[in-house]
Amino acid sequence: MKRIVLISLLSVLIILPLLGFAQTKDSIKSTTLKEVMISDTIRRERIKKESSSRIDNAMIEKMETVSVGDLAKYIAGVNVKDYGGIGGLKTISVRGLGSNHSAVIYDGISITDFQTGQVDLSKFSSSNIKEISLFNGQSYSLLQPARALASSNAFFIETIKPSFDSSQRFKTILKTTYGSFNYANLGINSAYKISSIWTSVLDLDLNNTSGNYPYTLSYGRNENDSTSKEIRKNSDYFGFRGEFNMFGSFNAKTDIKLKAYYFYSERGLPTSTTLYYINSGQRLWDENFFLQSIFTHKLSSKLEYRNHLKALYSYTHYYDSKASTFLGYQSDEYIQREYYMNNVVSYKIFKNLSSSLSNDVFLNNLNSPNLFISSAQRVSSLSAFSFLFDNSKLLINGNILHTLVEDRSDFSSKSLIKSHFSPFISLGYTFQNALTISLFYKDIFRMPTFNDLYFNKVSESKLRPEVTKQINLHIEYLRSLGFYKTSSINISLDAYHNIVKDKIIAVPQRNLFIWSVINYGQVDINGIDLQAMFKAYLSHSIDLTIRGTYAYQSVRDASNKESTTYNNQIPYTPLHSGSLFLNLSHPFIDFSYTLSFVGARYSLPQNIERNLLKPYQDHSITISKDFTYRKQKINIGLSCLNLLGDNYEVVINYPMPERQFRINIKIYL
Amino acid sequence: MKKAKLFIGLIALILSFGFVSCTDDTIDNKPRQEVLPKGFFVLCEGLFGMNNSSLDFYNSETNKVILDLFNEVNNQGLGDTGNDMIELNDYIFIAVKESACVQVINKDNGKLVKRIPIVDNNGTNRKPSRLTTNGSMVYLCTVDGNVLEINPFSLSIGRIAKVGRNPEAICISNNKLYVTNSGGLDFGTPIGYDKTVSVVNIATMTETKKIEVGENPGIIKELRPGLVGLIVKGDYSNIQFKTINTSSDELAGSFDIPMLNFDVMDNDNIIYTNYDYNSLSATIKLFNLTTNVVNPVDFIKTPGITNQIALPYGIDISKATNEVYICDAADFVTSGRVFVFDLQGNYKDAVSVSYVPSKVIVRN
Repeated sequence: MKRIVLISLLSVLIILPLLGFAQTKDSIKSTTLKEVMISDTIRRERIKKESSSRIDNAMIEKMETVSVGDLAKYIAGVNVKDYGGIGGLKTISVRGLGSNHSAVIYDGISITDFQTGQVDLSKFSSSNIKEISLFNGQSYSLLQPARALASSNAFFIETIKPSFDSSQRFKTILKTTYGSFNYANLGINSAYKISSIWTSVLDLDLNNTSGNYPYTLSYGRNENDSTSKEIRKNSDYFGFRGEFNMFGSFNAKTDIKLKAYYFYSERGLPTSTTLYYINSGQRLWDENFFLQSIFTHKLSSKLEYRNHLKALYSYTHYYDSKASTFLGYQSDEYIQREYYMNNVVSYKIFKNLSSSLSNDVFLNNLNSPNLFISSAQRVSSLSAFSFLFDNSKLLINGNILHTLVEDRSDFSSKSLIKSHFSPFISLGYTFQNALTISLFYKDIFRMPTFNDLYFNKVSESKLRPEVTKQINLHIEYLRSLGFYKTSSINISLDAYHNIVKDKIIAVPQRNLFIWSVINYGQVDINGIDLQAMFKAYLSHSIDLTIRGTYAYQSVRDASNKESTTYNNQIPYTPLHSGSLFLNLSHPFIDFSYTLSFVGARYSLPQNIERNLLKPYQDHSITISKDFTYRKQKINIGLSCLNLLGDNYEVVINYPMPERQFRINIKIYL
Repeated sequence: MKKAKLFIGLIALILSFGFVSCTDDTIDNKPRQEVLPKGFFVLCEGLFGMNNSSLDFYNSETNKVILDLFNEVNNQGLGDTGNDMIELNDYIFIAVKESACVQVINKDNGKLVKRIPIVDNNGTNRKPSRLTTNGSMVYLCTVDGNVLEINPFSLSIGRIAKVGRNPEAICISNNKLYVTNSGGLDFGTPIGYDKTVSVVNIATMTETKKIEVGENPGIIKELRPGLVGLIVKGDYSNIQFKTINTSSDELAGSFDIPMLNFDVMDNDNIIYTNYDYNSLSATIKLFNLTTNVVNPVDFIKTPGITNQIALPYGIDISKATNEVYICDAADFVTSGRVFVFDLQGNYKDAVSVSYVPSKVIVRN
């Protein structure tokens, strides 16, 4: 029912501007997009002083992706755990730390899931994304919420903000994609300039696929063992995202950003490819709604204030029609709420020295009639004092973060209180605006999630937080190559040593169905991230962009010398991985090629051949062309994903789609 | 020119990473023996969703293990969660829970004879759980609440009897089937665990009685003619061992002895395993059914062995070899082990096997 309402709503909204398109073709001034792109390029030509990585709009536009989870595969050091297909869960783990250690920040405020502690990036469609960036450690920005400082790394997702010419008031982009396995996407992005102060943008996006892709099922682990061609079943997905943003810029001193976000999805869970029997009756419904606001006010040239607010409601419903329960099915519902407020002030002490004070207070609760506990609640307060010294050569940034957490549940009468101080310090030096060398140290932890604490009766709330310590050396080189106007080369190298202590893991007790969650052992991590970007303006109006990443991650179990898994690589962390993006752009046609490479890894803690998952390479190409019809720009793109039809799995027994095709049409009104 | 070199260099640099870490495709060319030597089969459950259940074979002449014999012989895996196995005539029947089948193999060479699908009329997995036999038929209890009769000659499913919720184990005594109804899938819901043992008359293949035994009954075995014993797990903090008189079909005894698994030693004694989660230690002891007393002396007589056993998940006694086999599931995610003892508890051998070993069948 919800599905029909959402589809009809979007259809009406798409037809309306198209009518306008047919009638008032002359009254809308066409924009010179080239200019915008150039200014964008120039803006980018600055050396990053933090250990970070990003994918900008220019690249996102040219890659055929559905969700932010697909984009994250092109960032060095990020392992995306992908359960396959559009509806498959996609979580990130950065530098072997585990997915609970990454903060995911959507337009300035964290996305949270206190039940699992992991954010499913498949829920965020890439259609309105301006850029994504990953900060190892944290960003140097002073005016940010304390929560953005409270994780081992921060993954920022930023949506497209509208920009208008002086004569323009209304801009719309219509998007549609059709592809293999009945994949269809329909999107509208409509920006409206309400007044000289207020602008607004409405973005609606709908994805639907049957997800019945073919795959090869191997029946044994040896090369000559039987295989069969299968079709993935119960892998359908329907997703709707609606977002309304308002931007108010009152004067140079005060501005506000408001957002209303709604997401609904329904999907089949195809389960792992069990030998001799697959017949899943599992389905999942998700609904998320949140409101957020970011208010900034410059009180003086020295003093600046910002406020972040958010209220979230999220609903998850899992249903298995084939469970052998008394009722004949299994149905679990979870409701999460969050109320969040942050206040931050920054003060410029001297010319090059600033400091800030940031405080977050938030309340999270989980309700489930099916869980052992029917409700759990957590109140958190995070306070950070930060300072930043930057004379454009020497840069020193540091903060001390205090965490205060209080848990209450109807499982335990006692409340659980944690209080902890965490430091971060970073030191960097930039030579002639071309070479930066910086070092950071961060000591942070993650709280046990509601699942860790209350998932079953056996686990007690004796769990300690899971601690991570990171030391990182970052070297970055940026050079504009003189020969043409936009040519540049940017290379960065990171070497790091991380330790994870008191790792929170689930272990089976008594049998495989009674699990308990414990703090166990240590993980030692050593790694290297390498990124290189080369841009050149070639002859015959050709623009070339090459971006490559490589990551080496040695993530070792350092818990117990007696154990058979001591010094073994942790499951699902490849020793080698990398990506390549290549774009050739010409006014006549645009060509892009992407490669994601992931080396061998293990599906279980023991590094034995039986647990080995083979390496894979996923190549994709996109060819696109701009047309002009009645003075409006239309872009048509053709893509082939997994060009070589590689049959691979990211997660064992969850096959990824083989070769697929997509056609993509964008109309700029 | 310089520019071009730079591109090529960059591309080559990045592409070269793609070839750094390719796997060695060395095929394991183990000689496949047509007829298996003396030794024992070990059924390893593997991990849920991983398709890594395996049937290993221990060669007692060479003291070596063939890992995943089933895969080696049949060019296909055993499946997901091999839950139980039993031998009858020349065959071994293996119940594979998530793969919805009973794999029937030839005991002499491990070759697959037939894979019997265990699905209901809608094609849904019944989830085969445990097996028993009276020498003429094989009986399988399934998680969907039934007992299926399998003809060992035609290898087809015959009569079906409806029992309680989520049967976990099955045995035969007095020409009747005893099925423990765990109700484990209703754990945490208002209805909760089942508390009964179903009695099924083999002649009519109908349930004749439900004996109330307590929450969450599990492993059940015939102790001696007229008496069966079972583990009642409750919420795992109050595990009990209970006995049923199979002439009267009434509860005969109830003992507060926490145990994970047991097997029948002789007419008077059972041998049982347990793991204490507070002291993190394994126990293997004897319980006397006549005196109703636990023998205070550990079964294992060889010093330094008990503390090597991490989690005594399975225990089987072979009358043919006079040996006791203890399956150690370790931490469930690393390789398990099978420890071999004589009937007096003297250590003989320990071998590393696949994941989560649970059951041993001797080939003599």
